[in-house]
Amino acid sequence: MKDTHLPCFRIKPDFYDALAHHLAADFEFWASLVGADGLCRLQLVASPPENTSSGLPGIPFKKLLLPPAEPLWSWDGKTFQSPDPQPRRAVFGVALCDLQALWYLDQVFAEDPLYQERRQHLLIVGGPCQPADQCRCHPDESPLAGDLFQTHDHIWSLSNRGHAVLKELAKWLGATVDRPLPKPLQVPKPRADIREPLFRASTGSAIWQQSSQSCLACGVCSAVCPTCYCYDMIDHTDLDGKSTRQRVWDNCFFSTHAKVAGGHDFRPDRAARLRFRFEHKKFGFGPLRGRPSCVGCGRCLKACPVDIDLDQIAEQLNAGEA
Amino acid sequence: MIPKLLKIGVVHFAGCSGCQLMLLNCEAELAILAQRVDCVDASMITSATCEETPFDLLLVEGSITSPSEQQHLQKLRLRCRHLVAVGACALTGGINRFDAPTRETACTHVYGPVADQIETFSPQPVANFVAVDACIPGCPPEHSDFLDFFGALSCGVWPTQRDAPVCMECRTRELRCLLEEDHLPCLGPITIGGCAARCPALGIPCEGCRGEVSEANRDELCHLMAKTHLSKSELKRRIQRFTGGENV
Ligand code: SF4
Ligand code: SF4
Ligand code: SF4
Ligand code: SF4
Repeated sequence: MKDTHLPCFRIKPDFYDALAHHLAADFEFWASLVGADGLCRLQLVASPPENTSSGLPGIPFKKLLLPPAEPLWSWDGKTFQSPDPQPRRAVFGVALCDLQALWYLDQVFAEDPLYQERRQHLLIVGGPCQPADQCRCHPDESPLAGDLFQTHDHIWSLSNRGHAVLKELAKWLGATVDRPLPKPLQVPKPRADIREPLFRASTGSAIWQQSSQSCLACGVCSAVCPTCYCYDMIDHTDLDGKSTRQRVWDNCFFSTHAKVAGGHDFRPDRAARLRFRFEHKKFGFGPLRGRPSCVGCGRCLKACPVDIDLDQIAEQLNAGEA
Repeated sequence: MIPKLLKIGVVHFAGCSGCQLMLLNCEAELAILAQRVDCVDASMITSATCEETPFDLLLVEGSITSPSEQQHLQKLRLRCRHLVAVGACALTGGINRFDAPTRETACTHVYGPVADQIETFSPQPVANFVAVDACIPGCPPEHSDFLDFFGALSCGVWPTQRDAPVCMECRTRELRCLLEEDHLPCLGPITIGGCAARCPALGIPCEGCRGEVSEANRDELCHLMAKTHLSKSELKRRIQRFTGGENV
């Protein structure tokens, strides 16, 4: 979605009360809140927050679309059961980078019925953000998904669904204005990219060995990444014979990720695994090849206990240091 | 094919019996478990013993510390179709391995002057003496470890062996990272998950009781934990506690 001509409206006082009231019948409300322990989490809230820029939640909203352990079906010996229907959720204050990530996930899971069902049940409301030290987004680079985008005095509709919501609330809307989405100011340092031939040439480079030496393979970088979507399939059987197949977050740093029947491992060490993660984040795979899947949210940088920085690796490769 | 009613036994070597107790503590599921298994020999579970009959499945808890235990274990292996090592002591020697640097002193302390007449050796993992078909980690294992295990078995398969670290569960629960944020000596990055980050959820750094992931990066974790208040030797002991003595 190009955001240059998104319909934007000035809003009248009480618009947000009216919005909350309008949505309350159908939706749970979710927003990011900073807890007493200093961590920001996306969580269920009683009403939409007035101030939407609480920072990025440590675990992005992908947890609502691809939960860490999601049942696909269960079987009790007689019948198959589908997962329970999903609640409808309105998520408020989603930052631009996460809206870009949503667009990316939407492409990857375009043909996944479970994802699509959850997605249909989400109403995503974007909001302005405050760039933090580790932010590396390119706000204008990739398309974004979502339904609405709110500031304290304007609202944009980003989708047909968003448009339909605003139509219902026309009474609380003022004039249409020609206004671009508010972009984050002064992103400290945008994401570093690298050309693919240079990356290809780096196959045997010592840089992968060096950079991955300190990696603990804890998996945190992809747990927090809004566009990491690998999963493993795990079957679980209760004592009463009911079996459930779940998809569970997996991770390319884990020892089992590229291991296949017979014991061969396509990426047998951390160097190969780091290079693979780098490749996925910088170039994407499949039909999306060539478009970075990294939206520069900076979460991995912040969360990695040993400060492994994909951008620093890109810069080193670009500078011919490898 | 696994028969419907499995004849199982639990045998206890050097350990605290906590593993067996944990199985017994699955109170809500015991009734249904009793329909799946016939527990023919287990010191804490039944007063029956079975000297000769074969087991379909033998759970072994504790580490092996003497030639007589070793022989007993080897005889049992011949009587059971499948042997499962349960808990840190059986898997790595567990905290019993802490005798290592001061073994003689420890023996004299425990057995007194007759210490040198009693034949013992440094506690060993079960797999050092017999073939092990499956493992249930933990000190003690979680209820869910036992229930998943018997659940999988009831469809004739072993449960999936995990190799993902505690950190993954800790972060998906959105807990505060004690290592990163508070410089506490958390062993989460190198410890096999499955406990749903039980300790970090209580603000306690992971003690590593579930044993190490297959490719643990100990060097780097030690390096990181140097920021904590622990000395080098304390760090080493911390990592060794559940993973067996001298291999750190
Ligand atoms: S790779 Fe890192 S910076 Fe990029 S989107 Fe993922 S978490 Fe954010
Ligand atoms: S392959 Fe790695 S980088 Fe790509 S989505 Fe999976 S975990 Fe993330
Ligand atoms: S967060 Fe850092 S240490 Fe952990 S797996 Fe990712 S790169 Fe490795
Ligand atoms: S608290 Fe421990 S287990 Fe949790 S993420 Fe941090 S290092 Fe890992």
